[in-house]
Amino acid sequence: MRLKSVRLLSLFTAVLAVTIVAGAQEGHPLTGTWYGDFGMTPAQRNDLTVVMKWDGALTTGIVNPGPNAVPLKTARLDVKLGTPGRQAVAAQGGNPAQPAVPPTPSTFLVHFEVDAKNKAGGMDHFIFDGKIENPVAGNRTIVGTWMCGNTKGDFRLRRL
Amino acid sequence: MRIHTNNNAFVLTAACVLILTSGIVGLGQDAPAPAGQQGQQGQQGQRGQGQRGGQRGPAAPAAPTPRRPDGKPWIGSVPGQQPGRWNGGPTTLPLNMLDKIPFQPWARAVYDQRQIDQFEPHTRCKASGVSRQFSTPYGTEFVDVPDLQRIYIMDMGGPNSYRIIYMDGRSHPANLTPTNYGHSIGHWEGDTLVVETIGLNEKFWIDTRGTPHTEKLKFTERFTRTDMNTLQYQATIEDPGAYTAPWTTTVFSMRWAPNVDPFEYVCQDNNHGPELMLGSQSEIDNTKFFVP
Repeated sequence: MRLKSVRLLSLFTAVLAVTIVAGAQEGHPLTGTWYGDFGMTPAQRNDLTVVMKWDGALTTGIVNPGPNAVPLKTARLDVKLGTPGRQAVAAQGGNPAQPAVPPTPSTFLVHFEVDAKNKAGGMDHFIFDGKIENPVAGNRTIVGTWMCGNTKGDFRLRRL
Repeated sequence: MRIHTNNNAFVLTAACVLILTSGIVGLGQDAPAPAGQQGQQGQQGQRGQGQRGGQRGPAAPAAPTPRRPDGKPWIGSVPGQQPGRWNGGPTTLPLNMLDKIPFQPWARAVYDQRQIDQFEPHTRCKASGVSRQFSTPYGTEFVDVPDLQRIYIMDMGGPNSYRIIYMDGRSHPANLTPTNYGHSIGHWEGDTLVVETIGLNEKFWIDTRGTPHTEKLKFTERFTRTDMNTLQYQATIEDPGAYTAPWTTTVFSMRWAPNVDPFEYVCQDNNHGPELMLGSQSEIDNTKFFVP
C-alpha cells in the first residue's frame, strides 16, 4: 500500500514536472532540449537527447546530458528564405490577368556532428542532417538522416 | 494487483491532466467573451480594439498634456479625474520598414513563417511583455505612482499581470533570470519617458505579428504624451541574437479612452482560441497534452 502511494506520488510529480518544464521557446528555432531516437531500421532505435543553445552567432550544445554527455562538435541552422506569394490580378485595360502565386515557405535545415565513444573504446564520428518540420511551433520536430562511417539511418527529434 | 495499480496510475494521470488543463482552458461561463483573443491583427492608428465599457465615436477635443506637480506629464490616468486607458498600440513593430529591418537570416525566416502559422503565445494566455502590452484587447492602463517612484503598466487583455517600471534611478540587477516582462527602468528626457528593459525570456512575442527576439534583447521605449488624448510611442530593438544591428521603429500613436474603469479579465475563461492552447491545428502535434 505504501509502495503504491509512493508510485502514485512519483507519477504525479513526474506529470507536474513535465508540465512545468515544457515552457515555450519562441526565439532561435534550435535553442532548447530535443528528445527522440535514431537507428538503422524502424525496429532498431536508440534514444537521443540533444540540448542546443544559440548565442547570437553560433549554436553550441551537448548530446545525452548527464554523466556521459558529449559536446556537439558542430551545429548549425541553414535557412533558405521563402518567397512571398501574389494575389491574382484580373485583366484590366490592355493588361492580361495574372494568376495567384502561392508563397513558398522558408526551409530550416539542421546539421550537427558529434564524436562519441564506442564500446571498443574508440571514437565514432556521427553526422546528422535534418529539417525542422514545423519551425514556429513550440513542439517543433527535426527529421533527417545520420551517418557514422558506412553506417546510415534516420532520426527524429521533438523539442520538449 | 498490477492491473489495479496501473488503473490507479491512469486515473491519477488523467486527473492531473484534467486539473492542469482546466487551469489553462478555464471552465468559467460568466466571464465576458474576450473578443480580442481573435483577430488582433489590426492596423496602426486604429482606435482601440474591442473596447469594453469605453466610449466609441469621435474623440473628445484634445486638452493639453496633463502634468504632475513636478511638471512631468501624467503618463496615464490623472489623480482626481476619471481613469482611462490607452488603445491602439503597435501590432507590428516593423510597420512600413520590413525590408529595412536588419534581421539575421533565421529571424527573417521565423518572422515570415509566423505570418503563416500564427501560434502566438498570447492567444494561449501567456504574459507578453514590452510593446506587446499595448496591443492587447481592451487597452492598456498606466498607473503612475510618483511617491513610490514606480509606474505600473497593466494590459487589460493579458493574463492578470503587470509590468513595473522603476523610476528611482536604480540600475538593472546583474544576473537577471529572464522573465516575460523583464526588468524595466525609466527616466525622463524632457517630456519623454524613456524605459529600458532587459532580462526578457523567449516565451512570448513582442508584437502580434511575431517579430522575433532572443534573451539578448535590450528594448528601449520612448513615451511622449503630446496632449491629453495622444501618447506617442517608439521603440529601439537591440538584440544581437536576432538582428545584425539595432533598429528603431516608426512613431506610433495610442489614443486615450477616458472614463473607463478596469474590469476583471480572465484570459483563460471562454477563450476563443482553445485550438491554440490544446493543439488541434494541423501544424501542432495532437498527441501532446500541452502545447508549450
